[in-house]
Amino acid sequence: MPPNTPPPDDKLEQELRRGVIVLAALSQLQGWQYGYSLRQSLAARGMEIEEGTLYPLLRRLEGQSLLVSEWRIEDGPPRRYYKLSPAGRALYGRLVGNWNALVETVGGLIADDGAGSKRKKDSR
Amino acid sequence: MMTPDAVVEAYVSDVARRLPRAKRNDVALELQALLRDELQGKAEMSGRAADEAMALELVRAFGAPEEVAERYRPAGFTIIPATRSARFAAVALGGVVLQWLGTLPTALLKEPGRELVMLGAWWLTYGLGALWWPGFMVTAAIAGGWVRHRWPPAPVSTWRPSSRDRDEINRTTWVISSIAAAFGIAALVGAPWWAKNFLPPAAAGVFEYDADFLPLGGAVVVAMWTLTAVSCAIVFFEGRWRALTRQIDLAATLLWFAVLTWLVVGPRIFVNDAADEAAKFWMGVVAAMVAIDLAVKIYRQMQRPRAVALAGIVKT
Repeated sequence: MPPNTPPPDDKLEQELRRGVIVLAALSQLQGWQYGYSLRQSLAARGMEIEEGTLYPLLRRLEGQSLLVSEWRIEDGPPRRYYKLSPAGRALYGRLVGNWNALVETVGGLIADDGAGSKRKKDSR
Repeated sequence: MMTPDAVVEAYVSDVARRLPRAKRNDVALELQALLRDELQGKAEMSGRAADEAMALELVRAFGAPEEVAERYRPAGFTIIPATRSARFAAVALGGVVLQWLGTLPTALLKEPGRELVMLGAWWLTYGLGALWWPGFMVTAAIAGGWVRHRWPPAPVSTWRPSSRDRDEINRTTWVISSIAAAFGIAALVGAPWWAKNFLPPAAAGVFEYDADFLPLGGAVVVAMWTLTAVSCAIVFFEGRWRALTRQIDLAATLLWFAVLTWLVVGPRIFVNDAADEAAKFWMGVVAAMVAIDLAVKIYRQMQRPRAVALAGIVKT
């Protein structure tokens, strides 16, 4: 394995998390938020996202017209605030639907696997 | 000793100079504000004032400036897709090696005793010059990548097989080829007779076979014709190639190459010198074509999924 390459287990976990980061961020952007406050709000709900991942993500989502942003001054220095654009709101709705279906399906698969393993053990 | 703010500022400017000019200033301002917020949060959490070490820890955790700038950049276009990178590297390096192999021996043998000088001269001309090939390939890949980015390939729902069923044969083509082959064989076998009856009397004996050639050479060639005819007949009646007939065909092609090479360098075929030389020249040409055909067949065989890979499969 080349140096500085994370072990395969870490990489798979990262990939799994990466898939839901967009959904998590969009869920907290119904109203105006700036990067740091968004990260804090996600962390407070148990969703820790590295700052190096989240802040560039906001820019990319804005580049895809899913977020709108503006500079604002509210109790402190100027900060760039973001919230969902109409396109972002529509995408968020679709992602929530997909997520719920996925959780149900994968939850079922995991539950089946647990029952299957138990059956195999019992038959020995 | 730097102040925490100076560390953040230096880091942000290092990231910003790697960003596209149009968004550089805006991203830098935002990133600076965010990192200051982060630093303040970190200081509050640890219960002490922010210092240089804390700022360094923060920015190092944020990522290397190149990496962070990369995350802020919109996705560009792929020059060499991952699925083609190994083949790209092989063709690029293979092309350079081929050019070196083709030019180095000549350069070294040109002036015996001055090999080192010739090697230096070769390196500055053909040696380095051979690198035009990878350069050309990269330029073509950039153009291809841009075209794929600008006009993306058709969606998967419109996918069609890119070629016809390679195992199926076209019987009409095979019949025509067989008739042509039969004429060719008749021309070769009957060459002395044709020459005697249709050429001027002075050239009547030009295609007379050498008496020493016919017992061995003639027998080998007739055996090869028979093998080829039988294997072709089996494929013709079955209507398509299968693994066994492909392997027989591969073996037959290899044998043909060996026989033709032997005929070119080996025994005299015709009594007449000019006819013998011409025959050997054309057999050399055919041998080269057979070698190409052999290489293509081996390559295609290697491209096919093989059942051996499934040898460890467990039946349930």
